[in-house]
Formats: sequence, structure tokens, C-alpha cells
Amino acid sequence: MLFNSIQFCIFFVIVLTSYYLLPHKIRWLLLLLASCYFYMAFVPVYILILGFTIVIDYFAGIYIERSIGKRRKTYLIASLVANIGVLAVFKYYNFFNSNITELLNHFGLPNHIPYLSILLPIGLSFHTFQAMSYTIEVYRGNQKAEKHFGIYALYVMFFPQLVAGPIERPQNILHQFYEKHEITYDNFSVGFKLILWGFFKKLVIADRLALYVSMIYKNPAEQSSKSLMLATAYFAIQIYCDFSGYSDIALGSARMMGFKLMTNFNRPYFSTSISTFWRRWHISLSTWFSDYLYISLGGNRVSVPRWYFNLFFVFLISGLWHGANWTFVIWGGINGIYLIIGIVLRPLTNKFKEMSIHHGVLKRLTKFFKIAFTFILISFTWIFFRANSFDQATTIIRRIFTAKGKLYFMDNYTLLLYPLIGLFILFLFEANEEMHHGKNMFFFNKSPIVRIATCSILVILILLIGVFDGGQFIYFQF
Amino acid sequence: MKEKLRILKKLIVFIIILVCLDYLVGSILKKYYFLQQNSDDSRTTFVINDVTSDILILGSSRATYHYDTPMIEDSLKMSAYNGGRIASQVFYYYGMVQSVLKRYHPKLIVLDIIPYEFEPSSDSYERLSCLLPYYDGHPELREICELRGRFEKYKLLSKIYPYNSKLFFTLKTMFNVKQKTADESKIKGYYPVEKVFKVTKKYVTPSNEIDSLKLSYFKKILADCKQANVKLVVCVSPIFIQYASTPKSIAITKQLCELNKVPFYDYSTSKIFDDEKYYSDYHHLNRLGATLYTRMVLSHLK
Repeated sequence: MLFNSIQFCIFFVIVLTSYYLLPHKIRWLLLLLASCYFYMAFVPVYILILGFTIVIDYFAGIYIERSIGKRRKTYLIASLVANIGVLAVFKYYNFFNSNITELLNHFGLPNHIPYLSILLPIGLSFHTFQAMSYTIEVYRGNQKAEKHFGIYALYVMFFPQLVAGPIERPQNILHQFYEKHEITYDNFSVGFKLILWGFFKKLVIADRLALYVSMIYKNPAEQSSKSLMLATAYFAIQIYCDFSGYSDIALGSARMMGFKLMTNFNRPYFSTSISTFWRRWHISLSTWFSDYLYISLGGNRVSVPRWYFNLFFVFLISGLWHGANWTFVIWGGINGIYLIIGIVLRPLTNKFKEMSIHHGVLKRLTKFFKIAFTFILISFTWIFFRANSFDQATTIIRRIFTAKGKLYFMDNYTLLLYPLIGLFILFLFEANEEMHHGKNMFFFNKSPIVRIATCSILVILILLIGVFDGGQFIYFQF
Repeated sequence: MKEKLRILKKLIVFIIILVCLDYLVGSILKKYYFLQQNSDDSRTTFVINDVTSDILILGSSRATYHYDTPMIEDSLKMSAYNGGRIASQVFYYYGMVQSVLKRYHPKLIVLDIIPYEFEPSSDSYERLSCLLPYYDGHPELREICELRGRFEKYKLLSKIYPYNSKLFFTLKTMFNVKQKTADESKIKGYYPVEKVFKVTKKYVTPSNEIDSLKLSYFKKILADCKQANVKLVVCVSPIFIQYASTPKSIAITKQLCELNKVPFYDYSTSKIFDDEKYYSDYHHLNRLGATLYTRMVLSHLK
């Protein structure tokens, strides 16, 4: 079930109403059943995979807590193997097999390992990582094992964040399932505004930009440098609005039921460096990799070369997490290299920062150029993320620097104009939040007229220029 | 309880404001939408509400660019109008036939179909959005509009929604922005393309898949014209693509036309048009090609 569908709106109204009408004792059951229904609306049979990992991790958590010494580790490893095994089979098996085939073909040998004809279960990487964070936290002693099977299942399956995150930690969400949530105006208001903003980002900006991006990236070999540059910049914003729009709807719908999920995006395109960008983009995944992989590898408390390796390796794995394709691995690799270069150049940038700190205009100009430069660097990496293959990505890059010609828009200027309306509002809102330390002065203005006008204008704009046939969210495929 | 009442009160106020705004903005958009001139939308409005010509040409952009209406009028001494619309497909043609037959019976309808007309494509349903502004006032088009999705009729409760993505065209009309366009009263919906294509013919293997719903609406067109005693001619105009085999859509159309005794002319494989000088792109003839093609169609119609 897609968030941007009438089905979801009806589903959510029914769940929300029932949630507050039912006694607290059985609300978990309602949420669990609703989550099962939500997930089964995609491919029903895949709930069995989810069920399998839930059972394994539930018992793993209990046994880890009860055991001491090496046995604890054994249970943890068993749980991790089960989770990663499911990911390996459903997401990476065919990818690795095709690479083996190519390698063997290189030496003139056939590959007899069969390919699997399976569809990737929706949101597999998200709920697998969320499940893994539970057993790791129990192993580390930061979280008590959950004894209530239904509540544990709900931790993995809670529908607002089931298929595309945020990837929650048990410490943040599990206890909330036990708390009695009263209906409050604050939760309703904040939740509704988040949902509305999420819909706006998805329907008015992301799906609108997607029309141009798809048109250009469908056949990059015939496009001019201008068109490819615009489509690449558009894609950078498209993927942000698509994914953060999803996260906003997830956070908003959870909030309306009284749950507070972790923030996943923090205006990433206002970042002044790549390292800041990664602290503001897909925060739940970045912190997951930081908590469970980067620190386990030694983090930055190792020799400098090893530190660089740790960073690079974590980003390669992060790339692979996104998709079973070398383009994602390269995307991760480039981001890793950016970070390493950033560390190497840090003494130089710090010196410049000191120079400009007392000079108001210079400071502002430097900040502006840093933001623009970071956006360009990040947009470049998105080429690999969006391209279907490495060859297509290199074609795009080559043509960006060489291909002459006009900006392609099929003589339909609305293709370029409509996105500008959404982009203007996005900039207005995010710049406002950036200036007011994260508080949106349109949505949360003291004046009720401004608040109501903001919500009304967004609804009207969604109806006027939203794309209603846009389809699913990009991150669903991961 | 106090909190619940507060939420309810605010929600009701917000809904009332939204309904009023939706009605107000929707009414303004509606007014200016129907004041448009020389646009795809205004031509659709003309076909639905006003056309009374003896000959009506329907089809996609290939109809708009390929059928020289003034030439047809001169040659047959009958009034004609080219009601082709860019990116339209069989559902749209059906809607137009319904609206026209409700008002009057033309002497002849020429229906131009594309060689892959009945192949499945999600676009076909999305593109029906061009008919949404007529949903309220034209009950005969509701069935077609609702093909867009099972919740479409509920979405259409909004007065703005039918004009989704039409903001700039409406603003152009509102602020009286005029474009250099041909005199519609002379060209009668025919928009020739002057460009000359300079590439070799494309080779394509056609799909064997057929959207049964599209086919059923084509059958309905055949049946409705027959019932209304309106002469129908089905054509496939030239295309600069060489198909590895006859596209299934063409084969089925031929079969259905024979069955219903409807004349069917397929120029998609015509050797006469096997030259890039007649084309503006793979799918469209230029003015030279259109003139030659119209002359050939006229030879059948006389």
C-alpha cells in the first residue's frame, strides 16, 4: 500500500480512529494486524519471510539475555546470519551469481549455478536492519529482551516505518508501545502538518521533477550537457523530496497516534561539507552504520590509514545496502573518498574558516559557496545512483562535459516551470527552518491565520500541480 | 474530552476553509479553461460541444499532423474538422465519438489509429486527465474518466482536481497572453509540421500483448457508429518504422473492420512513404508527407 494513495488515506483514518477508540490493552494488536494488512497489500506471501526473521530474532533476544559468555555471541551470530542470509538470498544472490558468471566467462568457463526468479520483498533492507539493531542492542546490554512476542513483532512491523524507515532503535520505540497515548491536539497538529508537508514534497516536487529526470535519463546518449546537468540537479532534489517526503508521512502518521519516531532528514542540502551532509541525510541509516559497523571496526580510534579504510569500507557497504548493482557500490565509494579528502584537507579549511570568521560578508559568501559546492559534489554521486548501469553513468558524465545543444523540454515550458513552484516553496520552508533552528515559522507561527493559510495553500497546490499518477517511492525498492 | 473537541473544532474549520477555497479556485480555473483558444484543450472543447462538420477526423497527434482538412473540404465539398489530439488513444476517441453522436451525426468519421494502438501502457489511463474538465457537464464521458482509477470519482469531488497541471495554460488565458498561431477557422484543426527528418528508418519488433479493455472500446466505437448509421473509415497513416512483423493491433483492427464492414486502410507499410523527406520524426509526416497522404486517403473517400 503506497502512502500516496487513496487506499492509504482510508486505511489510516480507520486505524487512527480505531486506535483511540480501543482500550490501551489491545491497541498493540490493532497496530500489528493493521501492519500485517499494510505489508500484505504489496505481495502477501512475503509476510512469511518477515515472520521468519521475527521469530528468529525474538528468541535470539531472549536467549542472548539469558546466556553468559560465548553462548551470547553464538546466539547473536545465529540471529545476524539469519537476517543477513535472508538479505543475501532475496537481494544479492542473483547479483553475485551474475558476477560469478561474468568472471567464469572471462576464463571461458560456464556457470551452472541457477538464477532465482524472485521479487525483492518490499523494504527488506529496512526491516532487516531494524531487526538486527534489536539483537545487537540486547547483546550489548543496552536493551532488555522483549518478552511479549506481539510487541516485538510490532517493533519490526510498525506500518508507518515498515517499508522505508526510519530504521528505529529498540531503545526509542519499544517502550512507546507500552505507553498509553492520549489523544492530544499537539500530536494531531504536528502529525497532520508533517503528513501534509510529506505529500507536498512527494506529489508536487519529487514526482514533478521525476517527469523531466526520467525523460532525460531514459536516453542520455542523445541529450545535451545542459539537459543532463539540469536533470542531475533535479534528481538530487527529487530523491530528497521523495525519500524525506516518505519519512515525513511516516513520522506524521506515527505522531498522530502518539508515537515519536526518529528524525531522518535535517535539511541536508544546506550542508556546508560532505561530512555534515551525511549527518543530515538518512540519519537513521547513517547512525546505524556508525553504531554497528564503523565503531565495531575501530572508528577513528585507529591508525590514520585504518581510519580511512574504515570510512571507505562503511560507505561501500552502505552503497551495497541500497541496491544489488555496482553503480550503488561506486556511489558509496565516491562518498567515502569525499569524506577522506575532507579529512585530509581539514587543516586547510580550518585555517580559511578562522580567517573568515570575523568578516561578515566573507563568512556568508564562504558559507554560500560551501553549500553550493557540497550540492554539486553530492549531485555528481547521484548520477551513479540513478543510472541503470556503469556505462550509462559514464555516458552521462562524459556528455555533461562535452555534449553541445539546447535544453530539451519538448517545447513544453510547463515541464520546467511547474517544478519551480514547488522548489521555491521548498527553499522558502527549509531556509526558514535553517534560520529558526529547525522550527518552521509557517507551520508553527503564532498567528493561527498564517498556520491555516500555510496548510490551505499546500493542499490547493497539491490539487493544482501535484502529480497523482507518480507511483511508488524510490526507496521502496531497497 | 476537551482536547477531542478542540481537535474536532479545528478540523471542521479547516475542512470548511478548504471546501470554500477549492470551490473558489476551481470555479476560476473552470471559467478560464473554457475561454482558451488555439490550444489542445480548446480543440477538445470544440469537438465535444460545438463541432457540426460533415466529416470528423479523430486520432492522436498523427491525425492532427497528417490530415489536411482544408484539402479534404475542397476535394469533397463537405465541411471537415480535424479533432486529433496529441498523445490521445482509443479511450479518448471513444469519448469524442460519444459526445459527438449525442449532439449530431456526422456523415463520415475518419479514425486514425497508431500501429501499436492496443498495446498495454499505463500512460493510456493517465492521459485521460484531459477529459476531466468535462466530467461534470458531460455524463457520457464519465465512464471514460473513471477508467483512470477506482477512486477517480471521489477525487473529482474536488473542483480544482479536474484542472490539475493546467495552471499555466489557464493563467495564459487569464492574462490574455497571445501566441502566434494559425487561424483555426481556416486550418480546421490541421497542424502541419514543416521539419524534415534526417535519419534512417527504425526497425522495431512489435509487442504481442494487447490491452483487452482498449480493444473493447474500439469495438464499441465500431458498434456505436454502426448503430447511429454514421460512416466510419479506419486508417493507419504512414510511419517511419519498419516492424519485424505486422503489429497485432493492426491485424486485429483489420479483422474487426472486415467483420463490421468498415473500410480499413493501412499505410504503415506503404512503399510510397518509404522516404525520410516525408517525415518530421519517426511517427509523424511533415507537410509534404501529409499533403501526399491526404490525397491518397481522398482517393478512397471520393
